Parts: sequence; C-alpha cells; structure tokens
Amino acid sequence: MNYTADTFWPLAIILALPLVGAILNGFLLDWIGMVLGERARKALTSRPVVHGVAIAAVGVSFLIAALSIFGALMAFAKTGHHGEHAEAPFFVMTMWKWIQVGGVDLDAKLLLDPLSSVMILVVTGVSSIIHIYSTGYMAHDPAYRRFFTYLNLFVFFMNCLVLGDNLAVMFVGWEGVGLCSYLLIGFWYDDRAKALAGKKAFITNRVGDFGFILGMFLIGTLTGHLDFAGIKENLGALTGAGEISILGIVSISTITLTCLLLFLGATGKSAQIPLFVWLPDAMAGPTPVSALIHAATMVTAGVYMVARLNFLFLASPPAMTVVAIVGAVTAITAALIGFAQNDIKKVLAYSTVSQLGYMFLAVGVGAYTVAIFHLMTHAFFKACLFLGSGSVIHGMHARQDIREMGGLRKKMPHTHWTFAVSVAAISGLPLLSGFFSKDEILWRAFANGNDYAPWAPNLVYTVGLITAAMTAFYMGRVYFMTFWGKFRGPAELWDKVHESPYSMTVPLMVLAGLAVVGGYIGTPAWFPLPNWFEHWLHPVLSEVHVREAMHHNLTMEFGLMGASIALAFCGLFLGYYLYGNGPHPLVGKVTGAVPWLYKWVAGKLWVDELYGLFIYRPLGWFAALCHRVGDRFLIDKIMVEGSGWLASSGGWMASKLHGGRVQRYVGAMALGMAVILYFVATPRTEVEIEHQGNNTVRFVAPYKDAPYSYSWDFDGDSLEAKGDERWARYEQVWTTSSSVQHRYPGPGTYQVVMRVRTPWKFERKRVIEVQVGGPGEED
Amino acid sequence: MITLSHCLVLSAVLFFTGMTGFLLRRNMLVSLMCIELMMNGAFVALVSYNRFNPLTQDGQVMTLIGIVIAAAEAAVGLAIAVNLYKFTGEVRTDRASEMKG
Repeated sequence: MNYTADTFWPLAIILALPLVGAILNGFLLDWIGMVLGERARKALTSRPVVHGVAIAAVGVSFLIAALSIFGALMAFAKTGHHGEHAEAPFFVMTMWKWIQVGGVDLDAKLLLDPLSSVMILVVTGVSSIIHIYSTGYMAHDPAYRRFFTYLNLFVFFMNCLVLGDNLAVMFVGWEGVGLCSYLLIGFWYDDRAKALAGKKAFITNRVGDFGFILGMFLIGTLTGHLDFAGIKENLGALTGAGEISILGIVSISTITLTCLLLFLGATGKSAQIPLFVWLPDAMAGPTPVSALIHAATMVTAGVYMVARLNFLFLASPPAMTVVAIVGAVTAITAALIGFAQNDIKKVLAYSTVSQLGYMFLAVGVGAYTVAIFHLMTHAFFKACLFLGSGSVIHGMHARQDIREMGGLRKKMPHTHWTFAVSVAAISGLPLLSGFFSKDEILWRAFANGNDYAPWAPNLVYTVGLITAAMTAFYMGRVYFMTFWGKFRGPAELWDKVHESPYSMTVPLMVLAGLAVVGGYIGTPAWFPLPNWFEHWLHPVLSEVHVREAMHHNLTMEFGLMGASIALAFCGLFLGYYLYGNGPHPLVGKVTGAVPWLYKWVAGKLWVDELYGLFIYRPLGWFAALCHRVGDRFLIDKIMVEGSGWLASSGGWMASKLHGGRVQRYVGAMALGMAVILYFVATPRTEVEIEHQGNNTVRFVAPYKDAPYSYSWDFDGDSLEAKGDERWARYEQVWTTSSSVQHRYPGPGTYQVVMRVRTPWKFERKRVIEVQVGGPGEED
Repeated sequence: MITLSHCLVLSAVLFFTGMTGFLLRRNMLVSLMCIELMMNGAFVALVSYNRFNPLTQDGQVMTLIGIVIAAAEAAVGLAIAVNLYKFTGEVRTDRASEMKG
C-alpha cells in the first residue's frame, strides 16, 4: 500500500457522508415525497427513515474511517513498531483548487495522519453511538427530523475540522461546528432562556474566532502557507519575525503573539478562561447534544488545534506556559464551581470545562500525545456520563435537580452501573481509562522541563493534583446524590421513574466499556503493555522531553501516582460520607459557616455578572447610543424622514407654481427665454494664454466660429500704442481674429484688457494678468 | 433688397405680438389665435433661414410638420374651448384654473 497516496478518495466519502445525510433529512427526502404524493412523503419523513438515514450516514463514515486506519495500522506495524523509524501513515485527498488569488494558493485538501485518525475515530465513533442513543431520547420530540439533520450537519463540520489539511479548511469546520452548536443549544427555541443560551454560546465563540482568524492571517502573511506542512517548513519566517508592538504599550514576539491569538480561539471553542462561560449555559440543548458536542467532540477542537500546531507552540515557550497555566487555572476553577451546582447537567458541564483544562495543561507542558489521549478517554467517559444523566432526566420525567433525586440505582440499574464506571474513570481510580490519561498528564506536568519559567511545572502540577481530588469529590457527590440514599423528589414521581429503553442503555454500556478498556492502548512505561498510542502519534507530535532528573525515575513516578490515587479515593469517600445517604448535616453546617463563600461558588464565581458589568453593560450603552444617535436620529429622522420631508415640501412649493393660470405659465416661459437669450447673446471671454518664449505671449479665444470681434489692450493702460507695438493699442481697434500675439518689451507682470463684442454691439470686458518672462519660462 | 435680417425681424415681431396678446388677453379664442401667431413667427424664421441657406430643405420640411401639428393642436384647443363654454358659460382662461396644484 502506498501511504502517500494524494488522492485517497475514501477521505472525501468520510467527510461527505454526514452532509449527504443532513441534506437527505433536511429537505431532499421531503421534496421527493412532495413529488411522489402525500403517502410517500409521510413514509419518507417518518422516524425510522429519518434515524435510519442519519445513523447510516455517520455509521458508514465511521466504518470507512476505521477500515482506512486499520489498513494504515497494519502497514505501520510492518514498517516498524519501535517508534523511531516508523513511517507516518499519511493519506491526502485534494478535492479541488479552492482559492487562487495573488500569493494565496489554497486547496480544499484533506489529511489523514495519525493525529487526525485518532480524532476522526473518536468523532465518528462517539457520534454513531450518540445517534443511536438519540433515537430513544428524542423519540417523542416533534422536531425529530430537524434534530437529526443538525446532528448530521455537525458531524460533517467536525469531520471537516479534523480532516482539514490547512487552517482554512479547518476554519470552515471550526465555524460550522459553532453554527451547529448554536442551532442545537437553541433547539427548543420557543423557550427564551434556551434560545439566549444558544446566542451566548455563539457570540462568546465569535470572540475566540476573532483571535483564530488574526492568528491565521499572521501565519499566512508571514510564512505564505496555511497548510500544516507548509507552515512547519517555513516556521523560520515566524520565529525570525521579531517583535510586534501592540498600540505602543506591549511589545511581544511575533511567534508568541500568533500562538496566543490561536489559543484565544481555542479558549472560545474549548471553554477555557476567559471564554468558558458559554459551556454551562449550553446545557440548555438536548442531552445527546451536550454529550456529543459539549463534552466529547466540538469542545476538544481547541486542544486538537493546538496539538495540530504543536511545532508552532513549541517554538514559543512563553505561549506554552500561558497555555499550561490557563489550563490549570480553568481546571481548578471549574472544579470549584462544580461543588455547588445542583443541576446534574451543570455539574457535568463544569466537569467538562475542568477536564478540558487538564488537556490544555497537558499541551501547555508539551505533552501533546497525553493530551490527545486524555481527549479520547474523556470523550468516552464524559459522553457516557452525559448520556447517563440524559437517561436519568428521561426516567425522572425531565427533572434535572439532583436534590430531587436519590436511590435511583434500584429503578435504573443499567444507567447506574454505567454511570458508576464512568465516575470511577473520571475520578482516576486505578486501571480505568481516566486513571492512565490523567495520571500521565500529572506526571508530565511535574516532570517536563520548562526553561522559560522554571517555577511553572510545580505550580501546574500542584493545581492539577488538587483538581484531581476535587474532581473525585464532586463526581462522587453527583453520583451519590443521584443513585444512593432515599428518593427526595415528590413521592408520586417515584412510581413513574423508569429505566430507559435499550436504544439508550446499550450505547451507555458500549461507552462504559470503552471507559474501562480505552486506557490500555496508551499505558505508561512501567505497565506491562506497550504504549501503542504514543508510537502511533510519535511521527506527528513533537514533545517536550522529561527533565533529566525525572528520566526513568520510577520512584518519583510511583510516588506521585500513589498520591493522586489516594486523593481520588479520599475525594470519592468524602463524597460518599457527605452525600451517600442524602446530604449530611455537616454540609449545611459548612456552607452555613461561610455563606458568602457558598453563594460565591454557587453563583459561578459571579463571572457572568462581572462580564455583564464590564462588557455587556458598556456594550449595551454603546449600542443604545448608536441606536439613538445613529439609527433613530441620523438615519431615521434626518435621512429617511428628512428626504421624505424634502420631497413633500419641495412638491408643495412646486405645486404653488402650478396655479392653473395659463398666462402665468407663458409669462414664466417668456422670462426663462429672456434669461437664455441673455446668456446666448453675451459674448464669451474665455482666453488661453500661450507663452511663446522671447517675451512673446499668444492669446487664443476658443470660440473660433463665433461672429465676435476682439480688442486688446496688452499693457492695460488704455492708451494708443507707440512705435512698433503693433497690437498694444487702445480699445477702439477691433479685429475678428480669435487669436493674437504680442511681444512684450521685457519680463514682468502685465495687465491685459480684453474686450469681446458681438455683431449687435453687445460687449464684455475682461482683465487678465499675464506673467511674462521670469525664471520659470524657457527662452 | 430683402435680407435675412428683415425676415428675422418680421418673425420676431410676429412672435412677440403673439406672446403679448397671449399674456394680456383672457379670451381663450384670442389666446389660441395668439399661439398661432407665435408659431407662425417661429415658422417664418425657419423658412427664411432655409431660404438664405438653401443647401437642404430642413427648415421647410420642419415648418410643414409644424403646421400639421399646429392644425391638430388648434382642433384640440377649440374642443377644449367648446367644453369650457359648456361648463362655465364663457371662455375666459383665468376661470379655467381647476387644474392648479
């Protein structure tokens, strides 16, 4: 098999199939049905057809991706499984020439390399599972067809993002998933809060996209390339571009600025500080959407982008440090907020923000492989958690408050054990997938060197470790509150609580299974299994190496691992102790002791309020100003109403001229005629002055054919000429020639009086200043 | 000898006689006659220019067309006058100001 095939057409199919599904479900089947008649239309838009098409589109896409990657994997294993000499599987598909303007030469090109193959498997795989789950969860929704259309469209854009070979294709996907996210968050758009949540997500993402675009422009203008290979080759153009001064205040090196702008884009899409506020609100969408878009796939796009541009970020240690610290701070902040949320989906949302923080922490310390590994395992257990919460909400008849739940393990056994497995995985209990990935992140955070900021590893490691304990605690809290203890909701509801159908529980079991075994492909060095994941990704991801002192330092590694395992157990145990049998009285005492702290945490640290005060309000004022002054006054009053007023008042005035008296009309006509006659009868006095040199000036009147006669007084003295000054005579001498020439005695400024006369002795006079000689004139 | 100037003076006299009459008289029939006078003034100018520069027949052709149009216009004008008389019992132009703006 030829790895570097540049027209590997299955890629186009992987990309296009979900789009085909979206088109079919979106309108095409409906149109065909319209042509064929009412019965056929009903059949073609029925639920089985809708989800059949949708699942087939994504499922076949997944199968083709899996087969392609399996083939690549087999060949990869043959060429060398020792990592160093392995040839990177690398499939390219150039679909068409996209943009060719000036220096820009962009192809619509897809790339399947180890990194995008991991992503595409996660995206299409988890999507397939969630599509199947949705058939159960959305079964009673009237907008079934719309839901699957959006979902398929989302998968298409996500594939576009993942498979894009250059930043531009990636950006198309990047914007597209944002759009689908908006559409799906506001899926139940008749609920104003949900529609607003969609808007908030979209606008917050726009802020990030702004950074992404600027970063892209910087890369494009400086390196001349937008495709990843081209950027990597021409990286020197960015690193050597010197410093950019921002408004003359801060001076920052170009490469760092580029990375930070791109990272701003990543914070928007992946819900990091400062743009994380939209993700918790995004839980307004249907739960499968929260699982697919806002946990497993779209929100990891930022991590993927940074990993994809790993060579770029590695070139800027300051940017890497910023990424790591932002990730760590986001992780701990979101975990803290997660403590005090009572909406089951909100807790999971903050948990997602927190886990994404871990991933950014990992890419920030230069452990890209581990970040992608955690991205994958997180996709499994977080999708499982979200779908489990969806199952709970479904069984609880659309109740989401964990204070109303309790004891559900008896009613929903399948949901319970899959949820439990995923909680164990996310908390980092040993030998589950989350344990391998999270522990590796923490180890690398501690062990990786950072020459730019030597204090950073200890800081991010400490923050990460504390966050791990916090994660275990709040996940334990939500788990025990939901499934243990006594039922705290209305008593009559208890009888109605039911386990979800198999269409929902089977996907849960599959994801729970993956949450258990998914970690074994990327086990750490001390584990008996080889680290396939790292071998696979090694050709495309550069890494920051582990510090010398930490190299093969198993004592240290096991020590740190023991600490994090102990903390995870402590967190879970604390969760059980406080919430295992309903909220323990101690909880009330603690929150009662520091009510302001509790309020602060439960109020999401008032970040929304802060943004409201410092951004939303001033913007609102500015918008109101624009509205009042620009819109209402300038445009509405002056331009629209003003032009109308001008026309109507002008019409009113003109109507007064229209008195109905014919004689007046004729009088006006006669007056107009008199004016025209006056202008026709008046002689024209235009004249062109041509310097002939040798103090000679030629005067040319342009109206050669007019029956004018001219008189010239060249020195303006109204006196008869003397001697041989042939034309410098008094005004009484008339000539019919339209041009005359006069030689002046010497340089100087002369006043010329020109008189023009018509045959009926209508005369006009004009005085001209003539500059004769002087420095400017050639002789 | 009669020169172009003589003809043009005749044309101007005719035109301004017509215009003065139109401006000063209120009787619609007189107004119509004055319009004819003005038009004839213009026609005289056209014909005489043609007469003194007889390379083409432009002026005469234009005059003939003008006379035909003038006849049609006179017919319309007289019809209006008849109707005006029916409505108001007189043909004074200053009474016919129904179409003022």
